[in-house]
Amino acid sequence: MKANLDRQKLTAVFFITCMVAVAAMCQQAAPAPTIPTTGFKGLDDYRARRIAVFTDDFGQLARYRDANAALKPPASAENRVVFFGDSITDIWHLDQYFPGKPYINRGIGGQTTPQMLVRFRQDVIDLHPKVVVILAGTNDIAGNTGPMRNEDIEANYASFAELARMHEMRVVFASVLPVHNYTDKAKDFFAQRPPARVLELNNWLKDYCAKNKIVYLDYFSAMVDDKGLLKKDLADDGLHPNDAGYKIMAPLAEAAIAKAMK
Amino acid sequence: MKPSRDFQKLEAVLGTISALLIIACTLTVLALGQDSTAPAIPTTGFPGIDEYRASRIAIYTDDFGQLARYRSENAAVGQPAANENRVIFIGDSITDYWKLADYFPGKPYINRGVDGQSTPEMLVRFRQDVIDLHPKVLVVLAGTNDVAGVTGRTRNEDIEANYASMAELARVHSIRVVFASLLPVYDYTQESKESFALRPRERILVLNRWLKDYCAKNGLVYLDYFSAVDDDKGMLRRDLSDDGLHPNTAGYKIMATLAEKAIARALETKKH
Repeated sequence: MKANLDRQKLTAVFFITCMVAVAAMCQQAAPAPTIPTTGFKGLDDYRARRIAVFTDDFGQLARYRDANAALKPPASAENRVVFFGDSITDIWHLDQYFPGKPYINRGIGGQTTPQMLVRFRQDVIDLHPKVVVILAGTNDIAGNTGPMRNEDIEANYASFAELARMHEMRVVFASVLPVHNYTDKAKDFFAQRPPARVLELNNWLKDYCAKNKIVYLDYFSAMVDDKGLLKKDLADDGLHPNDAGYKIMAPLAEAAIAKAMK
Repeated sequence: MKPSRDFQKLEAVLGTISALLIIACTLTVLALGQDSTAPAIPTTGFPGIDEYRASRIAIYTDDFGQLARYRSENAAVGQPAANENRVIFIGDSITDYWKLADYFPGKPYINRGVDGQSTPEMLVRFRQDVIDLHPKVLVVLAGTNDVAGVTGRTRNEDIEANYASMAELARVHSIRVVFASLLPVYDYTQESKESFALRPRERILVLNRWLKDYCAKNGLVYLDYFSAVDDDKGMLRRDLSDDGLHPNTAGYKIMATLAEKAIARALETKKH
């Protein structure tokens, strides 16, 4: 009898173990969600790491929610400016380049224009700036949030401008920066951003600004070399300006803001 | 003595198999843990919607607004005729599944619903699917999937921000806006339990109050489906929906009459 009981126990343990094992294997076998490939391993890895952003907070409203809440409404004489964009804005230390100015950084690394449209109200409109400086589009071309046609990017630019207009905010549209491939690090960034697409977007922006009395901020012409690429000494990775790059951009931005304030 | 020896053999065999399985499990778990690039979608706590979100991963990563859905149809629609009272219905599945041609025969009403969508997705396709088609009136029925957290947990303020952005973009283009109330949901069937649990009644009521108030303040038309389709428990009437979320023919019949009145009212309001 004892042997029988032991056998029953052992058999039970065996089956439980089997079930646990099968369950574990089934879990592994369940098709993991696959993200469409971009053809670039670095970008594919980056997109895979951002999966929770795509599924749960596409505009990344969480990023600046608390910072926005902590900001007081602008003082009556304050010429508040919001810099809105991707990593090129995000990593720009505005307090060092515009000391003492009420300039607010609302850049988010990796973002494309549809993501920015989703957070435009929270991160721009609700802060009541006099001017918004928009530097966006390079990640759209790269396909960070999927392949995009220039028309789709332009549609988002237009929506920014129209929403800003409804709130009597002046808009400065910055040109998309050129990119270089002079270093190993830069190769993929460059390959993802065909110079012709950058030029087309900049032509559209310049034209749209002229038609809608918006200030066009031409970083491109000041930073491009004779091959049509970003000057090597202005960016170490081919995409993001270094100090020398930001030093060129700051006075141009300042002049554009002054023009917009008028 | 024989049974005992058999038992010992069995014990040994089972023991070996168990040990192998334990090793296999451990290796599996380790392998899963090491594969840091395998995308993991945050869970909502509801298996049905978790699976749904996983099935939509390529949308979220590559075409968040789903501009691909109506791109070619939009190109085929063309500009409205001079006296055409074109109306666009934008929204989620409740709009998407609505056969407008059956309920509004002969009317130039265009369906631009995309099932599963929340308001940030609609904002992203708003220019392509609404503005560029130059309707006179826009009927917006949106928010229930935001409440459900289909594209992540949202606060009502975030949904309201998207309503406001849609209204402002429409206004820039002289499109009159009709904001429909969110519909109630019910949990009267087994199938409807999860979609009901994902949509707390209180949030729907708060959003509807906000919409009604926003419409009053901004001269927009508020289209109150809610009061016409809820029962004495504040739930969607059992006979108007088979799954607790999506109206059936009886539901759409009630909605169509109300929508038609709201559109007529919107056409009477002056352009901004």
